[in-house]
Amino acid sequence: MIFNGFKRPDQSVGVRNHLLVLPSVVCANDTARLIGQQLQGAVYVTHEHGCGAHYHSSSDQIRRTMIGYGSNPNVGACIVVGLGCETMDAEEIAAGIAKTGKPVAAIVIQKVGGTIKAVSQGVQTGQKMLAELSAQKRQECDLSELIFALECGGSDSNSGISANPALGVASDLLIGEGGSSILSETSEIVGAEHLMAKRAVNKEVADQILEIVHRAEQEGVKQGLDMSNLAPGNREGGLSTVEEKSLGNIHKGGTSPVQEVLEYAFKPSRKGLIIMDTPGYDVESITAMVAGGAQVIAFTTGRGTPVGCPVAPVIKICSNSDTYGKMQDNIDINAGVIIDGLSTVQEVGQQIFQELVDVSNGKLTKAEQLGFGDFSIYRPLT
Amino acid sequence: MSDKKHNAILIDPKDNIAVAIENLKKDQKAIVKGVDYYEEIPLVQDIPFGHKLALTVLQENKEIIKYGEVIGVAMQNIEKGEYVHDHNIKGIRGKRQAN
Repeated sequence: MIFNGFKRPDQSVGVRNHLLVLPSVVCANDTARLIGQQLQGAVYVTHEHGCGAHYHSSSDQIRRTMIGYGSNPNVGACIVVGLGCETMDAEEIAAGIAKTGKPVAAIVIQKVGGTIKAVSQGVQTGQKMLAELSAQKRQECDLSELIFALECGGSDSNSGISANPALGVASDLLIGEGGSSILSETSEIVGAEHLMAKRAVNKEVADQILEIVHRAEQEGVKQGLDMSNLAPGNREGGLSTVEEKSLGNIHKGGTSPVQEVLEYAFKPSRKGLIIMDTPGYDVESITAMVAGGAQVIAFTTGRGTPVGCPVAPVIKICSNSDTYGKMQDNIDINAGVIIDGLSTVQEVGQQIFQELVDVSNGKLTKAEQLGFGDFSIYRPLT
Repeated sequence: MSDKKHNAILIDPKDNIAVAIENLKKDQKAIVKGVDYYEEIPLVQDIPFGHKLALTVLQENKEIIKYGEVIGVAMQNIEKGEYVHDHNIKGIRGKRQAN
């Protein structure tokens, strides 16, 4: 199936054409913000990372996430803003992103001599980039180029019956077209990993699924966490245990075989259903999947959530009509009609798939209309 | 099969709980529907929308089944029609095991 997207020099395909202003370190946040705010159509992010004294694996993960985020096909051009003395060297991040062939610039505040000069240089560079991006036209692309990130947050007991299985249908439809989906949040596979392992394409992948779930569970126990102690909204929504939440969660992945297991923010090397090992926090998980190349996010919710992503559209799917009625400004699709007996899982799945195609063609999601752009990198503790 | 509109659903034939799809009140009947399944169960307690009720008597330590899989165990004996939630069932996974 065909949609109209933006073809990138590295053959990847974007559904948006953003100029991203990315600080490499927390100290450059406000300078990056000033550049981003001055440029109509640019998006900027802020975060708390990038300074020194990180443990090795933590630095690798943060660097990989930043480079992956800038490399996402929805980003047409990128300005990386650094301070000059940080571990996350802005020029190194920019060089990593530049491997995609897209226009990238690095601006280092200490080098150019202060924020005002850095902002001036950033705005001038950004203007040239915007002129170029705004002249690019959408072209016919194949749906098989899409990676669909499957997220859920504020789940309730309905999520596993309506929104998640309907999203599973849409995910299977995309995979049927040759595309890919990423299922994430390992802590929300605890209690359902045996079912995912059975769907692995081979023993190695099955073992990896069991391994990441075991690791997340052990890590949680070591930190004194009780995973069964669900968020208050989950419990009010009728979820009693982590197993119950997980068994509902995995429905997002439909019935497709699991092709590959990835660590946080790595790019898939295979097509089809992928599992990425991310923490059970929505924004950190979405950030990792987008850094892995996902162009569109589907986000199921029972309690409702406004979360958006700065560079990728987030399609919000609600599990029940009550929340949908209250939060229509945040939610794109009501899967509660399945509970109400007005529609089937299959029909809502088709509707989500059509929405994925429409959004890939340029239709704005509710989170985009509101200008929401949440961003957070998960920093491992060791 | 009755034509009465159901207000709770059985997700998998192996399940021993059903999920309320509207707010159900004590003294009301849960009308539970599943594939080839229909039962009317008098309720002992209110069951909020989206929450669970017991389809049979669940003895202490009995595995609680939803989606055809184990979601936890009963912490006490649970009557048929009783509200099933974290006050009377607990998960097994993701926590420090008692020594």
